Amino acid sequence: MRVAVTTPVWGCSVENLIGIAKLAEDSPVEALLSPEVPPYSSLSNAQIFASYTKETKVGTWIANIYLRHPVMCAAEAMTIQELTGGRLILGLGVSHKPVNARLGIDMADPIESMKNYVNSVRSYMDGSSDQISLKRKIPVAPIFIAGLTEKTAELAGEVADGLMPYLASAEHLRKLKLCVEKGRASSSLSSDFTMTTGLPCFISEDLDLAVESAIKGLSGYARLPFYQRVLKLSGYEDVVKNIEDGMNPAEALTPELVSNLALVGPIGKCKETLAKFVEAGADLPIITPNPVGKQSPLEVMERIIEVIK
Amino acid sequence: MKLGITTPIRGCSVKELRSLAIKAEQAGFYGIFSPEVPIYSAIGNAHVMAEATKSIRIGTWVTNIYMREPIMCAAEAITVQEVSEGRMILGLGNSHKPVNDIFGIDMGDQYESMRDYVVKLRSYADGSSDHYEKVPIKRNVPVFDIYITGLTERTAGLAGDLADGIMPYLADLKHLKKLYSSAKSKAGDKKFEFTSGIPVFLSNNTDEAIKAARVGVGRQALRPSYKRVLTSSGFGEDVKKLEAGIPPEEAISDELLNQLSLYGKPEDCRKQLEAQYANGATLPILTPFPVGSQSPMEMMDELVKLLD
Repeated sequence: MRVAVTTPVWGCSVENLIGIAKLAEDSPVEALLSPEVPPYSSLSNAQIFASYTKETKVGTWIANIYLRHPVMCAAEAMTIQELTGGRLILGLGVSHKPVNARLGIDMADPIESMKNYVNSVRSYMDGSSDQISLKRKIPVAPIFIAGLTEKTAELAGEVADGLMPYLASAEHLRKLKLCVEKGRASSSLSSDFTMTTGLPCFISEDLDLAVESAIKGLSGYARLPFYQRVLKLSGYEDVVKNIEDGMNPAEALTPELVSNLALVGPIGKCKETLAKFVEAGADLPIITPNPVGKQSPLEVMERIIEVIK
Repeated sequence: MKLGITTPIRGCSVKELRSLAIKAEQAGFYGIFSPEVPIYSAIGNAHVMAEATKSIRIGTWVTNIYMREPIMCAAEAITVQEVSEGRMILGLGNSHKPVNDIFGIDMGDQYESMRDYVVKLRSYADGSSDHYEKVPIKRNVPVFDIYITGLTERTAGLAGDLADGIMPYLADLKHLKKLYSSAKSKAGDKKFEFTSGIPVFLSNNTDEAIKAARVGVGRQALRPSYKRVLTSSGFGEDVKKLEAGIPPEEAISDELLNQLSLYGKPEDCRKQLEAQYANGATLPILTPFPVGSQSPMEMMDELVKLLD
């Protein structure tokens, strides 16, 4: 089974990143990806993974397109691609309005911004842009884009090499896959398309504690408009309605919801949930680690490896 | 002799970056810095050099402030600082209008843009200002040094006020002295680095070195910000000739060349370097340019001779 893993969403030390990279390299994990929550850079983290792996793919999940000029995103991606001999996956996303607004960033039209950004980055990487006089002879890295809606999935099919949804149900994932195929039909790209799906994990033999951790851990996401939208599209309109009406997300999220959208509980149960998403069309599930109780980043990684063995 | 060097301005491979950094460390250079000419990232390169070395200072010379939001610049610099265990120097600059125009970047008020950028960046790095409230995560990494480019006395004052060092380039000794004075007046007694960026063209073949120096300096002298400095420093005739399309081999005078660059045999360049220290520079930063078909490592071999 092809599976990717991310490092902790809220960041960790370089020492922990190195430790996780070494664990990933010695495991069946296909790719190790870094989230990007400031003040952490997913590209810098991916550069660290690059130095401590030989075969595992490395990448970003997901670099915010509003935080770097596309030529600098391409430049940094190319350095990692050069360091790894071509193992980079460049995941790009628009982040979230509340996050960008706090940093004074106007997102304009996110879909148009994404389309332009991806095309620009690709043109800098493949040397076709007439804006750059220096050329680097490095294989172009695959570009995946974050997408939760049918429109973004279609864009991914058109301009990217992969789609990176998160918190989508298996049913919603099937719909997104159809949209990708529609976009691909009008694309000039010939690369194999990779359908991923981001799956937060809360792995523990103590199911109650795992569910409790999952509800707490995912409640923050449920405050973000984009994720509220995907929860609605995944059949949880009532839950989102409660949050919109003022209910604390930690109270609104249900054990059924978190168990359906995340890997929660003992290893065997997590394996079953993972298989459900693969069956729904995920070529490369991306597992995002979350601690249950006092699990350290390395302990969580060890449990993830048990799930995917 | 406290001396810094840069990697080649027009980039090189990751393998070469590593070798250059290791060689610079072994030779005893104080620091090695990466330029940032797209499609290369100065911070990405500094990261490569940090992982390859143990004691030499590593940094950027200079990162274009319009290429990254300050929070992302801080994030990347913090990681290099963490990887290098405190050896990071983040050099920041506005780049040049012709360069930024190509990438559709509106530079706004350059002075204010730099001020705003440094204030935000530092606050993200050390958590000292209310900007930090916008970022809920704190990383326990010592704050890296921030230097800024500056070719005017006003910008030099800004460096003295907000930064830990100043990074002028292609300025003659007289002008450098003014810049250092402005920076010092604002920096007061705090620890502050007065650098001087100098293009170098080293070779035992002096004639070839002079030729390469005239072409190299001539090309850069046409950037608007350098033109202004050179004109105000008394090299207006050289600038006019370049603008008129006269080849740099003819347009650049000996005096300009001697003031702004090092060229020829390494042993012959030491006097010019001594003049930089005597003028107030605490850290000359040498930028190597090839003479003939010199490779990056061959340029480094010549640089190392300066320390012999």
